[in-house]
Amino acid sequence: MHAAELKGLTKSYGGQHALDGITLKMEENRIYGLLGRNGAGKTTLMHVLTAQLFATSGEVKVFGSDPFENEEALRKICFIKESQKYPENFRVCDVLAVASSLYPRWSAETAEQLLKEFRLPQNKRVKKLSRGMLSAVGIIVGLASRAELTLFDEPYLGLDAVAREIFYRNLIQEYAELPRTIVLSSHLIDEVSGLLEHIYLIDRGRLILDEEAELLRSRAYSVAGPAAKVDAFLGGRSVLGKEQLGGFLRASVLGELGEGGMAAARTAGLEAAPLSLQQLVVQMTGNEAGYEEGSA
Amino acid sequence: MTFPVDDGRPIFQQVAERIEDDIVDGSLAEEAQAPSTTHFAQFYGINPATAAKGVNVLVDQGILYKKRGIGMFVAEGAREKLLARRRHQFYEQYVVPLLQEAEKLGISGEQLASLITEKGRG
Amino acid sequence: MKSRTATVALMHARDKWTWLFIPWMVLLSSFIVNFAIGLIARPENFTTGGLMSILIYMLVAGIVVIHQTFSFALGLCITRRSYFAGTVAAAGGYILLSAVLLAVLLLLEQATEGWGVGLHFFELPYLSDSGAGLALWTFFILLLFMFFGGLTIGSLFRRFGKQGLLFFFLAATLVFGGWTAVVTAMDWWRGVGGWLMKLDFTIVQTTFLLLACTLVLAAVSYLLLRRATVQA
Repeated sequence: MHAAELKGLTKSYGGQHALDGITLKMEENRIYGLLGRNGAGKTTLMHVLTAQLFATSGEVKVFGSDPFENEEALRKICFIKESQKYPENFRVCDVLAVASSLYPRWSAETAEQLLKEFRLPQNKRVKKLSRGMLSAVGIIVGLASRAELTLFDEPYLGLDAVAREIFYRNLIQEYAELPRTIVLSSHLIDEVSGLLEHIYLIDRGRLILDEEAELLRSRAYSVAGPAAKVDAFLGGRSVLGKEQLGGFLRASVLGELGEGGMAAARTAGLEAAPLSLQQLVVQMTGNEAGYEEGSA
Repeated sequence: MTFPVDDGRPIFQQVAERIEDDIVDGSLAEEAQAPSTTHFAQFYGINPATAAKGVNVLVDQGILYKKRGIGMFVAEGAREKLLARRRHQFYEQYVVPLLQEAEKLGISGEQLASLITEKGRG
Repeated sequence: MKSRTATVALMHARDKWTWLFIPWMVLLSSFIVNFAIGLIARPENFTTGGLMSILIYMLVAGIVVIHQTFSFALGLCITRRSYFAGTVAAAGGYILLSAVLLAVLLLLEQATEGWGVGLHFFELPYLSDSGAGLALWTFFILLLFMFFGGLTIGSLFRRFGKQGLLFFFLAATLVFGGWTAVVTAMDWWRGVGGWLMKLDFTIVQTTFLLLACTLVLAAVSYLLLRRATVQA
């Protein structure tokens, strides 16, 4: 059984496609990265996955069944989003109390531990919290829920580097203790790239990359050097993007460089290096026209 | 974060090499307990499954062994085994490129040898 | 492991300000003002509309509760069904409590002959001497009706947004305005009045009519919420 399964999922608003024919399968107990620019459709996708928004067409399945009004399926999902609304008079402890009675695998110790680490005052009203503290509340709920499918949508807005470390460390701890499917949507790709096992990249509502993270590490590279030499090297290769500074050119290329390619670049007097996940995402989603598979 | 390095090599391989380094330089003695995969994962901010995969590479090579319910330990003779392999790799990884570069720069074999011995003396 | 409906009900119960403190503060402050008037001006046996304040508040509470908690609950992966059932359970509980309090206060009022100053604050028209049981029931139904009225408006807004709500009120005004215009133009008011007179509902019958309306509102509100989404 898959933790989540989407088939041809489309969500449109008056003819505009927010999501366009997304098909994917998430296996159980893995950590997924859902990447893309702002407005690419990541949040919409997670809203549809949790039946908070309705798909225009296509099929949505969570643990094998449609999540709409499906208590059994929804009980297994915890969705932490940046835009989460809280009732006016709720304090931090009220939010935790409600969440704890919703999730069968809730861990009070985890919640306690994180409250301490984030130095979050339990009796403070949620609407009086700073942006970072508000994010911390979400992170605590998400990790302590121990939900079979936990979705984190930009979970650390306003959190400093120390607090983000706390999140990463506890996420790993929790995941190691009790494996579950985790979907992480983040802008700080470099910080999380080591955590992610599988990458989904969304651009303008379309899924443009669905790949194992390990494979992506050798999937693209950059070559830099004198423009003419770089251009000569690029012949016939699938170029993602180019940046020029005077006579110096740096190009990102899709494909495996390999030992041979590395040697060829070196002989040509060029510097070649694999593209980090963040650079790859920037290259694939940064241009005006949008990325097309196989385009040169 | 300096680890994992984005040099295109799989992270699990880097994990294995990191542990090998510790064994080679003696900071992880034989029969000592290796860090748990969770600790490893937390320390470097990587997926525990990836860390476990790296550790398992070393288990398969007989460098580490598993004590059920306790954790991973460095096998007896692990250091010697690693040193032998590293010595073998040394020639290809370091000497060959050194000679290539020296040739490019017009440094003769004798000059190169004296550079090395000088460094060794100073 | 509690049922998720119970969790929703307890979630509402945590918010004692919305459900208990504010409405009773509003009501009691109105009471105190009227009591002071009674004490100073000493009018003979006067009735106030102070009770309206808690009824209006219930309407507002119905609207506000959806705005406050629907997105939160859905965000925690609660089904719309559980949300609705839990909300109705919590509101029903608080409304029952309020109705009991109102009935007790009415009895006190009657026992003290208007708090010693002839103030009829908790008395409903036509209900001055019909007994505590009927008063309790009437209070309960009135509060419930107002709450579900608000809940329906809140659900309408949740489902169709600002435009939807505007459109609905515009349509309602047009239909109702049109109907009164037709009745006036055709000089049918006498007929309508006569028809109402002929029905001649008792208080009990009226409460059951209101209960039926409340159930219709509840059903409408549930159907609206079932297709409602969080703000995208």
